[in-house]
Amino acid sequence: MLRIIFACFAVSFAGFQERAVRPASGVSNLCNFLPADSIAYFEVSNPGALLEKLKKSAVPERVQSLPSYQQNIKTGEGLRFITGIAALRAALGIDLEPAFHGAFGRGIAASITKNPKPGPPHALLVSRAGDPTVLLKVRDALAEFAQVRSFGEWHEGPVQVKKKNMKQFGDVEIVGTGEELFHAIAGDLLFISNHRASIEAALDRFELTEAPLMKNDKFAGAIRSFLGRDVIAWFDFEQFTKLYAPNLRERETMDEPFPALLVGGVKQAFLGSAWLAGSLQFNGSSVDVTLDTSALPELSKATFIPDIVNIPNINVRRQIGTFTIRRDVNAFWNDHEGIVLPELDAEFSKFNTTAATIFGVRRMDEDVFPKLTPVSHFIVARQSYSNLPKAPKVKIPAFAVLLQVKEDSKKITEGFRRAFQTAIALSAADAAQKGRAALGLTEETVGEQKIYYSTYPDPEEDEEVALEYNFSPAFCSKGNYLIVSSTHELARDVILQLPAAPRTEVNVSEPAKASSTLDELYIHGPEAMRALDENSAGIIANAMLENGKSKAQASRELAGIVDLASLVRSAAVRSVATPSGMQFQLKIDLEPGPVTPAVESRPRK
Amino acid sequence: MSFDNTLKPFVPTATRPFDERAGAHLLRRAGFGGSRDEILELIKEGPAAAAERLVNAPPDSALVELDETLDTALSGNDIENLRAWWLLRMVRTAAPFREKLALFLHGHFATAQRKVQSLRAMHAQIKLFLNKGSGSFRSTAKDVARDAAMLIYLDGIKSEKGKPNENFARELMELFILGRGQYSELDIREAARAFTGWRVDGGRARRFTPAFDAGVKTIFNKTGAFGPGEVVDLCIEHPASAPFLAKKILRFFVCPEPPEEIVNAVARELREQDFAIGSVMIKIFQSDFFYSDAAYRVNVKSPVEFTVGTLRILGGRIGGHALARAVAEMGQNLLDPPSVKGWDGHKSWIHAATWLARVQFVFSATQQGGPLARDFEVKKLFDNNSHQDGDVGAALSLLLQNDAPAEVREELLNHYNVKKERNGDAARRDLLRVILTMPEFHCA
Repeated sequence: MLRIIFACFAVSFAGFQERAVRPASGVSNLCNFLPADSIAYFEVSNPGALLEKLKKSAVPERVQSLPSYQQNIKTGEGLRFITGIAALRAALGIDLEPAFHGAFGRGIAASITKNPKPGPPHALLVSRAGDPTVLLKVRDALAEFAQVRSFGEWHEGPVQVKKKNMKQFGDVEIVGTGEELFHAIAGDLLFISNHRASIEAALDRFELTEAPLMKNDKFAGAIRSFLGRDVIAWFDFEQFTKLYAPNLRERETMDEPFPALLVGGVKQAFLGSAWLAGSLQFNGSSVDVTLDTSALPELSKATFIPDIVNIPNINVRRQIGTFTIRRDVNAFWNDHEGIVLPELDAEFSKFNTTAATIFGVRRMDEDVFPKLTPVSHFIVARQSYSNLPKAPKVKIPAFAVLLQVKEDSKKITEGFRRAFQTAIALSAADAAQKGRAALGLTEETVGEQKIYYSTYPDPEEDEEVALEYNFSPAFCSKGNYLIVSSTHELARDVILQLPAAPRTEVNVSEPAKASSTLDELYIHGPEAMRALDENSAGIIANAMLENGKSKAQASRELAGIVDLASLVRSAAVRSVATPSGMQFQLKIDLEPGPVTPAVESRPRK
Repeated sequence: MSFDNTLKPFVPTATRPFDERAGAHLLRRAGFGGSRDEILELIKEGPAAAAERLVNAPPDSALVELDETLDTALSGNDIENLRAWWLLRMVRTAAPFREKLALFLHGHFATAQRKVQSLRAMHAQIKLFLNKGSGSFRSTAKDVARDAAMLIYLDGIKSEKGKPNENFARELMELFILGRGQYSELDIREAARAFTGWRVDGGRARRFTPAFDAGVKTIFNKTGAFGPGEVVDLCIEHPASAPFLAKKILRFFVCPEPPEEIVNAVARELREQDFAIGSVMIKIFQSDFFYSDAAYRVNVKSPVEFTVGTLRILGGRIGGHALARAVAEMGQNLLDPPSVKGWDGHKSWIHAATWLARVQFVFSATQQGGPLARDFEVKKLFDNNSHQDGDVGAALSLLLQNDAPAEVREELLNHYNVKKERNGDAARRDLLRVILTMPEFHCA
């Protein structure tokens, strides 16, 4: 990565002399220089201030004290990086920090536009220097430094700018090296692009008083609400899909269907939004990310439900996280064609038939879902494996779903119990046919509630504990709560925490309020890190086989990820319905200190 | 061309030297090909010692870490991990004959995961081929008869006293040891009784005595209370076994249509060595016939031979999953042969779709930072290059031992020198791509 960065600087900044500069016009916002037909936009309005905030926070010190950081800087690559930084500092003649402030400190903005010819899209970056003299110095030093690095290591011969690659544009010189990278400096502004004409067009925008990009209503509307935040980004989903989806689909046949899933899946996951606008704010001890979308109103009506259902505060042992969905499951079930990928549609139909068979009903959307409240609460926790002689090598966290029936209906509870028993019986019959260990059904009484659960026969002493021993499916109910869990242990933990006889009156006909929280995901950092850590052998093995890494290399990388994850105390994601569309909020808590409970308490109604 | 009825050893002469062509030929057949240094080491040893060292090479201790990794990865139940493990072994090993022979035996005793559905059992079978393959074929066949994967694949676990399943007995005679027309239906029915009474539990085969038919059977006109091992012995002692096996070995390791005299010579060797595969293979690799024109570049490389051979030359960090997928795209989905007959091989490897997959592999493998050879550095292949034809000569020597026709060399020189002006490394990559997609490179 470092080499690529240096390479960019090398080809862009090589062979410089002082240039005549043109003073900046009255336009202050960097987005003024970017084209109206941008597909993607990115801006750090005050990089200097952001760097200051980061420096003042505890994050750098915590990162430096991580064991994997200490280990990594002693590797060959780490030492090369440190040497590279020292050499860069020597070439600059000043410290990196003032150099960064001086060269880029007052803003960086970038955009991507369509390339009308075959080839990569046009990218344009504009930055504003804190001190234009430092900008020139940094540019020349980087060019010189990159040339030194280029000898014999990764680039053939010195980087040179030929006369033919320099072009005068007014009183500004646009410089290229024959490669697809150009730059120009005008006053305190630096322009970098892979397309010379993009820089020329940007220089022409000096005289404009209004940013062309702000005339793009989709952009202007979305971005205004984020002004003042540390980082702002905008992405025209509609245009991107139109322009690039066919190319991505072509690639799909070469490697894997990821690009198609990315375009199709993300687009549909964001409910067909025409654009995405995002912002990031760093507050020293937390990071807040907000993502605005323009949701499809028809689909929203079908799936949004009011935030009026009581959710119990569950905080079980080893809890990794919770996920709460306040959605009309029935509407999703019926309208799924617009949401899931077409490839999954056939699977969905099969699942529908199987579910109806297990429940002994004709239709799930008539006989089952209408009897449930539109809130599903998922709980994920690590397992203790205390019921097994030894733990399986691959440890899959337990998960449970907590549902609520609308009325204290014994009939529907009984229906769920029978469905659970049928599913276990079918799975046992299938296992017997294939000569595999089959699940056996049993029950346990906890307080006044019965837990129906199933287990595999104990593994032989000399036998490896197989993957399936991660599962001992369980079902239980309490009041109008139903719990379906992947393990008996988690079902028991959840039922012990449920209130005795909760009742919630639900009026699903009430319209969605503005700013209703729809979905909430909460991840407890330390437990998630432990889950990762206890599966480290499998993750390392996978990295070795999939990517051909050595054990030492794979172990070091995983340790680095686990260490970085240890900086995060919790992460919460919310999806919120706003009058203009869907908003996604991510909050990452970096506060060091004692571990907080794994679940935020929620107001009870 | 006629050959005498012996496996007379190859004696290098001035007109038929044991040079880079011959060394690379041996390395391709007894392994997957390799670097110039590996070839030069073989030349230094001479044909006899080189063949002996390749076949008798002890297991590569450097693979222990990879083997331990697989043990953990198998718990995840992902077949791609098992495929990746074996292919990475083939690329990295210092004892390639062990892997090559296991590949032959995998096609010979074809067993498919899609039916077995047990990675532990499939892994155990491959380990059996790796560890015991070069020993006695008789003993390997007996181990296969009670191998968990084979028991599941050919319905051995459904075979009980009174209701014997004939699948394994039939394939043992038809495909594994004798060939068609050497047995009667009665022989199969009786042999099937001897293979009753097995169960598979947790990926391991277990004897279930009550289901075993211990009664008297008559096979090939011999009568006795035969068990599975004795039936294998009866098949091995059958006169048709040695020529059948000899022909299969020669077709895989030497040439698609071996002359009858050579088949008979190898069959005689098999009998004399009591079916000790390693010893027979040394004789084959040392023989004059092996180095004759009848065996040189006459085999079409299988997808595994082509990909592993390419990557052994190029080097770099190999993406195991991507490699397994590429091999499958070319028509050789390891651990899932198309039928109990294994892969047909030779010309059937190449058709429009698989050729396209081969070309895509070449592009992917030579791409900088690509998914197949991540740290592949093109420059290293051309270091210390003092070839009179520069990079073109060096690349043709490295990849083809100069087997390219003169007009192709000329054409390459003309195009390459123009391209190199513009970008050295990119031009070198293009040069490698052109040579790796030349027909000569796809012939072993």
